Amino acid sequence: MTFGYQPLLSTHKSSFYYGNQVGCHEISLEIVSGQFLAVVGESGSGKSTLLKMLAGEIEPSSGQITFQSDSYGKVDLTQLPEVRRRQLRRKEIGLVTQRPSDGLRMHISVGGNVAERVLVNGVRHYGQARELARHWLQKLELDLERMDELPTRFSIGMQQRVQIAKVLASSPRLLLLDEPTSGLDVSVQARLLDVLQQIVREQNLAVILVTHDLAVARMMSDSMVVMQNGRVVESGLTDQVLDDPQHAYTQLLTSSILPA
Amino acid sequence: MSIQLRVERLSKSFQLHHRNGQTRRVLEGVDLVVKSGECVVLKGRSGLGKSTLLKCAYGNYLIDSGEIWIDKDNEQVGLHTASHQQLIELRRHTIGYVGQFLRTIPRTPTIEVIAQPLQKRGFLWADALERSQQIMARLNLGPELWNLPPLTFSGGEQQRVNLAVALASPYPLLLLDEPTASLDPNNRKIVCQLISEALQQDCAVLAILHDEKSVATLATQTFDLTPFTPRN
Repeated sequence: MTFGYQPLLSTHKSSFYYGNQVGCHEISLEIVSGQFLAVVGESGSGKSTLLKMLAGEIEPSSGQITFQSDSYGKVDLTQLPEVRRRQLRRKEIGLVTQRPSDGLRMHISVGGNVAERVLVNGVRHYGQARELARHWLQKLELDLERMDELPTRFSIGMQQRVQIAKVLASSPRLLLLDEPTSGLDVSVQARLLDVLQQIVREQNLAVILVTHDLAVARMMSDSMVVMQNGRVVESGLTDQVLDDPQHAYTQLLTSSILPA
Repeated sequence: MSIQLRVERLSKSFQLHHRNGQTRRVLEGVDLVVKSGECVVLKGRSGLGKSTLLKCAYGNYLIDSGEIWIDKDNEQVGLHTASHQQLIELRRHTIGYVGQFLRTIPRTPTIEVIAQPLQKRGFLWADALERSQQIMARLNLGPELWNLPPLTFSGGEQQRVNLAVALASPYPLLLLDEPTASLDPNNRKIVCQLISEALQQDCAVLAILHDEKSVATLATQTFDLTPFTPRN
């Protein structure tokens, strides 16, 4: 098939070790703009380590991570000077942490959290930054009347949406989501997923979604990797992996779901 | 007429790692051709592997051996060797699948469930919405349903939403798993009419159909899977 596509990000045998302990081992994957990739597996399987590595928060022990950057062209993140990596992390690669308090500054207002991100990325005028903050908070269905309150006064579900608004405010190309809906009520979760999918479509983002919830993975993702003990044991289109799992561990995962 | 789907020596089994590594052999050595404008209806008792074959042709199940060739704009693409991205591309433009279940994100309105795949296929959003409205109207899904999420619908309505996705702008290859199963006679007639129109537009259809009336209206050929079932 005459067929060209450019992955936004691809890893080649990327590994990270905590001393002698495997964090993740020789991970090779790719993600294309406009698509969701789900990373599933039990706690301790290396999902979050992988995400931190892709976000440039930890440096791989070995392997390559190729990223198609707006500012720097095609780069190997592992070879990039720290200054530039930090730049990418603030703008083109957005990481949403599992606990909103890890990604937000809890002592400044909700609006301030988002506006700050905008100001760091070159918007000079405070009024303009605040306007953008309003835009993104609204997009995530947050009450603008409350944008001057501290995040601590918000529920966890609302804090999570603030964090996502903050990350999106810098117009990232790649969104990394670490269990963004765990710990949320199902109704709040459904709403967040719906909003996320809409934004991804509008902005043509690439998303890597770490989750242990296979139902969420099925609804949201195009493709999937299954991790166990720091390794990818299976990968494929999401429905194929879930409906015809090949690896013993994936079969265990899919057969353990209780039908709703 | 050009060959839209060619299946050669297809075999499929399931290995159950947590049942002592037991293997369930389902299909062995299936050879099948579906040409554009043709509707091939799969025959055989239930549990024989009819749905399995459709799922293999959609890349939902992996095959053990054999080949599956799909015509994409006059080029033969091997589904059995396609990369993930090629598969996504084939599903976006060439292969439409209508299964028994509808899976959508809880809050997404029905009209968007239908319009989104159209947009991904290159229709402008306004056109995609218009086409979605047209197909829903034909399938007796009234305007009062358009902005509701399909999860609130009855089984028959959900099935018609699934059909609407595949028929809003018919794919060159349609894989239909009992598309009329939970429909009343009137809606069944409408669905048959829409599938006939797709055939006239040179779509190739591979279907599992249980009611004799639909088979009589649509089938240009039946294909019995019994000979391809291994005796375990």
